[in-house]
Amino acid sequence: MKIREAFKLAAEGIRTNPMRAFLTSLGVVIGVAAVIVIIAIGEGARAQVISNIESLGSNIVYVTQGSAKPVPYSRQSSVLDSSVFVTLKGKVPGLVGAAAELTRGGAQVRYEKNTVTATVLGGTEDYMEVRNLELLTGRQFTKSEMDEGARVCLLGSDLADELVADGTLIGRQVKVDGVSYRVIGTFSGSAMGILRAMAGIKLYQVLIPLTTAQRRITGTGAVSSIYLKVARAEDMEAVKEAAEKALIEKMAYEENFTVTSQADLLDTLNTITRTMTYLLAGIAAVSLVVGGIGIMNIMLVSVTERIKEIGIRKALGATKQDILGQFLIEAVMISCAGGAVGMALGWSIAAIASKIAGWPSLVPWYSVVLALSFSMGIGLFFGVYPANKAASLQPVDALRYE
Amino acid sequence: MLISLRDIIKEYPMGESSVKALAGVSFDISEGEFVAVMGPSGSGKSTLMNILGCLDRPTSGEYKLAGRLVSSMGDKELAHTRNRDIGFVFQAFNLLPRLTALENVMLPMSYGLVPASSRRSRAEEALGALGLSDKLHNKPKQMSGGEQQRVAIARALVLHPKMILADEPTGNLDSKNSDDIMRALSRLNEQGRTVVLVTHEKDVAAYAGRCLRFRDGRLVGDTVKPERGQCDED
Repeated sequence: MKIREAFKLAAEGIRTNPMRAFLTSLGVVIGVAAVIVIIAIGEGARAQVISNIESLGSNIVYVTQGSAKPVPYSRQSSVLDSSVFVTLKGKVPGLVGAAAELTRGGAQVRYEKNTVTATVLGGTEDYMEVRNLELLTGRQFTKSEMDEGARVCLLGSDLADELVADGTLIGRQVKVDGVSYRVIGTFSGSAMGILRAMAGIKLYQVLIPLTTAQRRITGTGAVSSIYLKVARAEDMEAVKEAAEKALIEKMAYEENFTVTSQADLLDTLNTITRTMTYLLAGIAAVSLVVGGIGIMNIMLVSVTERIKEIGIRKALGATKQDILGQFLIEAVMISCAGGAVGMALGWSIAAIASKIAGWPSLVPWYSVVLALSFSMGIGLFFGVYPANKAASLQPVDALRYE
Repeated sequence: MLISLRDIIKEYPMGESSVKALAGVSFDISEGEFVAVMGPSGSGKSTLMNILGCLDRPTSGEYKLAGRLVSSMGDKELAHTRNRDIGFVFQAFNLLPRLTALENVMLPMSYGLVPASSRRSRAEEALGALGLSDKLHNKPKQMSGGEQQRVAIARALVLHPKMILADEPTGNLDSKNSDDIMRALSRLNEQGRTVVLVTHEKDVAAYAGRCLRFRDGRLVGDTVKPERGQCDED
């Protein structure tokens, strides 16, 4: 029997009982739809997070104290400080900006009767520009305020909103850990800020000049991190290497620092979200297996119902392969039809979900290929047993069956 | 010799022991014969029918069909033999209920080597020869028993098999339809086709030219009658 006829025959078997074929394929429909929705939403959310992070400037190299590599205790004496920053700024080529930062969490910020726990950021002149912070109101620090360590501050928007319900704080005095600062402006943005905003968490920060922070908080010239903004994305690796070289020289060959780039962070984030997506999709795929068992179940019923038919066909010259093909193709057709419907359903759900959540819906080509080949494989795998059972029937027994 | 059986034994296991449905049967049938196989129920005639039709294998013995040793054939070869050399007519008609008369008659051709283009015309021709030209698109349920059995005969002969095996073909029919069916089988035999007919009705066996009688799995009588007449009782 030719393949085309075998397909026609299998289609006829499905047409005989369309409702049952539909219910049988429902398991596969749901499984495929679930896998596609999860992958689409996962990929969409990932793309959204990454575009947010990239919007903060992806061409940044970070230098932080401490190393992932084991460093002997005797060689952990060197610290990042303002002089390291000056060295890097001077020696590393291809930069459009550089900034140093000193942070301290858990500071008490008070205005009149309101007290809020916030993070103090001490930053150099270019700090806001390098870190893509947006000035909302007021002005930035002047050069002289920087140099003399003036007690002026800019408030993060969340913090400003928390301290005073309406009206501006510009020109007012706020107390940070008991020391008075004059508010000169407000700002918004930061990589952490967007991640937190997506999760609905507020981020309280107050920005003061680095010199002020060093004098008030540590009493030394140490800094927490140094940010190097690279002119061209292609230069990222070169800048990283140059920074490492300059650091080793400057810090007496101690490797007590870490140089990372935005790209490294993105890679990590990508890996995490991908792993989560695959994990969830894997769980959803379990329902595909359940759907496959449903197909096997119904195919077994169908074989039992049609024993007489199988006997007649065998008497008329059908070979084992003919019968095997008929039932196997029927199982694969049910499962593939389920896969196609599930794909359409999953696609629509993903589109609706993304519209509601407000992020791009991404149905990657591989999820479509995966879902279809998976449902075909399931039809084959779970169809083999019933089909083989049908094909192995002895013609005389099958004919006698009532 | 079209059919040649030698010492055919068919045993069915029954717990510890076994039951012999056929206990050593030997006979020959030449091409063009019309043979009735008679015997009471349990005599082994149905078992013989299944073995002749390649639906079952004997436990031991030699069965040659058109010179080929059937008892040594594999499953696939048996299927091809059923398709090409044997046309079945069953008591219960055994048409596929979902298919029309035409589709039922085309069924054996889809397992054979007939090109798709000529199948329809061959099926129409076969149905026409049995007077069913106006029922081509009827499903079995829309036809009388006699008509259904004529469709089954059309299906049996559409591939021009070497022999027609009819197992109680009139068992489910009234006497008028029985006569129609038997006349159709006689006509086929007159055209040179070998017909083997299993029955327990004497009037039906009367159409045959030779009568094989079975009892307890053994051949107990083989009467060749040049003239058509009664198939002798014991």
